[in-house]
Amino acid sequence: MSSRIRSRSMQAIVLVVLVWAVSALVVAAAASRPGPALGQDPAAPTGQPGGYVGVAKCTSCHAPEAKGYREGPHSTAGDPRTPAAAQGCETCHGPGESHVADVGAKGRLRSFLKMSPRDVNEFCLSCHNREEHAQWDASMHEARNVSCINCHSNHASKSPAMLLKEETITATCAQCHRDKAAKMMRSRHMPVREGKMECTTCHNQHGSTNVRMLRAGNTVNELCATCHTEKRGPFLWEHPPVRESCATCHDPHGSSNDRMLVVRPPMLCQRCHVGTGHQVTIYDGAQLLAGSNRLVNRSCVNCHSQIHGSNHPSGSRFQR
Amino acid sequence: MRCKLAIFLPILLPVLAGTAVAQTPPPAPPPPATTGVVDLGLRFTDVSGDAARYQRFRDLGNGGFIDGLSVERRGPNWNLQIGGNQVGRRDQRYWAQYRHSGRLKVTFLFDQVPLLMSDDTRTLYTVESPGVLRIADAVQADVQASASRLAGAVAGLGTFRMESRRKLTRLDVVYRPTRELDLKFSLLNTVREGTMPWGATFGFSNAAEVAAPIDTRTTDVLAGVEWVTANRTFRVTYDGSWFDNHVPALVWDNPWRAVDSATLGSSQGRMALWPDSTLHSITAAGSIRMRARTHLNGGVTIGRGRQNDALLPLTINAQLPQTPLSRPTTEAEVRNLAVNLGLTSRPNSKLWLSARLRYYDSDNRMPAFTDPSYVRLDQLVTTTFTAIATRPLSFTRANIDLDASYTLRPFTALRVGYSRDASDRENRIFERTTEDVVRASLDTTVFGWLTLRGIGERAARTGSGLRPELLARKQPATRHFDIANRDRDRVTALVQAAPWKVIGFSVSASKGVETYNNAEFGAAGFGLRDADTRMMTASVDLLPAEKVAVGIWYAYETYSAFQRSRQATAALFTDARRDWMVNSDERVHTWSVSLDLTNLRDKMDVQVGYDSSRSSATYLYGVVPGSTLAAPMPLPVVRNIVETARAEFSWALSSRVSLGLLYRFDRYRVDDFAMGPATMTRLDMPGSLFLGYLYRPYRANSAWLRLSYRWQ
Repeated sequence: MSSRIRSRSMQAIVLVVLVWAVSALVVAAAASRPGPALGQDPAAPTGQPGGYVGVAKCTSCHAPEAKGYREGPHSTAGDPRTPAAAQGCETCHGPGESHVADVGAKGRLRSFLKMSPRDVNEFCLSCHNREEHAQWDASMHEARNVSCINCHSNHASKSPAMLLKEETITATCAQCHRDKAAKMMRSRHMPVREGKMECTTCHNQHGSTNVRMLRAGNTVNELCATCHTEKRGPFLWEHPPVRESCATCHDPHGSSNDRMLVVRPPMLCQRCHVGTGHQVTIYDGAQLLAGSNRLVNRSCVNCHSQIHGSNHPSGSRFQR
Repeated sequence: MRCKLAIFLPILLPVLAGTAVAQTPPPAPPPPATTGVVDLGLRFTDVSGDAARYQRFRDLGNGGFIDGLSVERRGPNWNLQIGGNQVGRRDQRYWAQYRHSGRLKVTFLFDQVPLLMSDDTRTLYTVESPGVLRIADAVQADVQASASRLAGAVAGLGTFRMESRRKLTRLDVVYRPTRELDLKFSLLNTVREGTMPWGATFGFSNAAEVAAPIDTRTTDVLAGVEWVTANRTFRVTYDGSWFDNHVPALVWDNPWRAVDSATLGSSQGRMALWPDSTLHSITAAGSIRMRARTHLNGGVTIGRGRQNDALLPLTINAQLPQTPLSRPTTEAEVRNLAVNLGLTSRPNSKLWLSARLRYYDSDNRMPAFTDPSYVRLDQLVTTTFTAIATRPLSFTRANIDLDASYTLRPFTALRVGYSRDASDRENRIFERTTEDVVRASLDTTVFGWLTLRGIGERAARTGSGLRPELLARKQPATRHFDIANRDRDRVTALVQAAPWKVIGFSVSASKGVETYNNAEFGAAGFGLRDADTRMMTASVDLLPAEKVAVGIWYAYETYSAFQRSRQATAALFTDARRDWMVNSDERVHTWSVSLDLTNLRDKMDVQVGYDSSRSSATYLYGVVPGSTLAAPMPLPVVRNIVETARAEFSWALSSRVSLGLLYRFDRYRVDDFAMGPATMTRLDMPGSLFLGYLYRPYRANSAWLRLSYRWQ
């Protein structure tokens, strides 16, 4: 790496470390004033007298909700992290005594359907704050006012796991991301329709450190290389746009082009390779009639098969 | 008041909890119980056309099947689940999970993902040993004497199946010694075996395609510890990944030459396949919650990737000088550093603020490989080639996102945001690019039945530090589109409404316009000039009766891109009359229709559905007025139509037994000028020897007779 970039990198690192250190000091100072904890309510209904009545009392009236609760992970009493190990239904909905005393009165229990999305999220995150959900707070979904209960239902889930409101993860995501769902139905796609992958194979819908809420790594390529490890490199000869992002050439959600390319070769390659000779030839119908191997079959990749990088000393053109 | 409540609640909670426990004593634990379900039956599949593509990622072969098998044994504080899908098939999956509530979770998974590419590919090559593909000497000699004899050599070749399989074996263990602490261990072993079509060229007139061997193993290990309290989290994770390729080199015979020559080419070629590599990284991350609903989190990852495979000689051609290499192995190493910081705050119930910083540095430390010669296609020693020196790519990316959201009404939030991405890199035409993005979004969920989401975004990317030497032998007005100056505008809107229980509908639309600006060249810039994407979707869900559900969904997408080039030799390099353009245009219609009838008479369920994706793409060339180029001949339209229709009937014969009948119709129609049978009429195309891996239509009828048995 050049000294110029290295120097700039070091400056950035120092800056980041400084920011982190200052933040840590602020945090240390603020730590004496804790925020909400398990069972605490960031948006508690105020003026709620009375105590807890217990699960049995709740389920005596709310039978459908009780069924969903019992069949879901929140009811695992042996796990000290679950609501069942605390106050059962009232861990989330608040003490029920005043509600039992006056069933028709409003506002005696916490109703998540009536809370703002960020209040809902804050409450759920008071328990669900581990690795999977650790990046929620600055995530794209949080920024768009998406709520946990947009996708999950504790009492009426349709999925076999994760309490989803739809039967599958893909169907849940497709409620909003319809463009991606449409792409997955194209002729070239990842094995999502076949049940071998899900949206969450690549994305962490609860937020991540990577771009586009990608589940692993810190760049697009780091995510892709978790499966396509052979293309990880580093190689003796690198193809720079490949190293920068797989998404330069591929559309991972599906495409009508071979290998899920964003556009078919040679047009794709000719978007950058504007030099002389065969790079800049018009590969039109006449070339097709002639059966040119720069157009038919896999076009440029017929010869430049090592397009992701070559480890051969004579591989600078990605042909070896 | 709220702060006081927050302080006192932790103190009161144990007291209240104790009270609750006293009120409702826990029931006696039930005895261990076993439940399970098995899904088995017979399948009949009739396929005409490209049967391999129909089963590309799955196994829908005839005969008996066990689609699902799952057994669960549940004790007072534990449960064990084991199961499998597609038992014994190419796409089989098996899993097991043991949970001890709040203490231990162990998960095992074996998953096999097939990739069936072709049932009827043909090749002259036979496998002599892993990675060594041979053609009979007599055939080579015959074709060397007369290239036209290649047609005879490939006539009557037998077919072979081109496929690969990915086998994943995974073990995850999470142990929770205390309420706050998680210890995690994960082991993933991925084996890939099989073949894939691979270009193995000896030049334009000698482009061979072979079935390249795939025999790799990747072992990923994760070990981590996570400590979480209500307000603080801390996590340290180690990730290790080892990639091993058991076939590091491919050697293949030249169909057109039987003997090596110093001037006419080689009798065989050799290339390096994917090198072994390792990647290790350590991540430390933490977060803390503070007053004013402020949350700070951050993490640092340091990683090191290495690849030190032995380098192959410059050529396998025995008639060419075997120049020793300057070093025997790759000596490639990349060091990564990632720093992520996020700060969000809700100073009051209406305002949400977020700041996020990402920093990523990829430092490629591989020493430059500057050997003075290069052997082109095992045929020609070149010493004047300007790109002999390797150009390892290092880059640094810094990104900051600032967002502020104001809650206008309880369920409506308006957000504005700004992002700046700055990237430094080596060995690309721009040393630095910066992109500024401004955005605004409005998101509302009114009364739970109406959702409105809209976002607009404007981005401007600018490159600086142009390195003209990297554009040697290219048009100087060329800009690589992934780092070129670019303006991008995107708008997306989504409306979802369910005003009554019987009906819900959704409409969405989006538009994205990218314009690539080379200000100094105006409209004369080369490469990708603009791209335009539009999408519209609409769906309706109907529940006209308690037992009836109808869903209709439609999407329409267009993609249009315009690029510019110049067909030139060195002598005509500046002749603007040789400029040409191509407009890539694609339109896709997607349909999905479903009808579900549940719990009809005799406990029968009926599900009927139809999905289709219809794409047509055109590539239209044009030349400038007064062009000296011949008028381009249009390329045929590329069409891809995927259709699936299905009908499933299931009867619940008893609480334990149900019977099902599923019929499915699949059809794929394709017109692909490059890979279709109308073009690829033979293996020995001009100057080429292909495998016959094509895009062809198929039509399939499948029927499942299924029996489900559930015990509990």
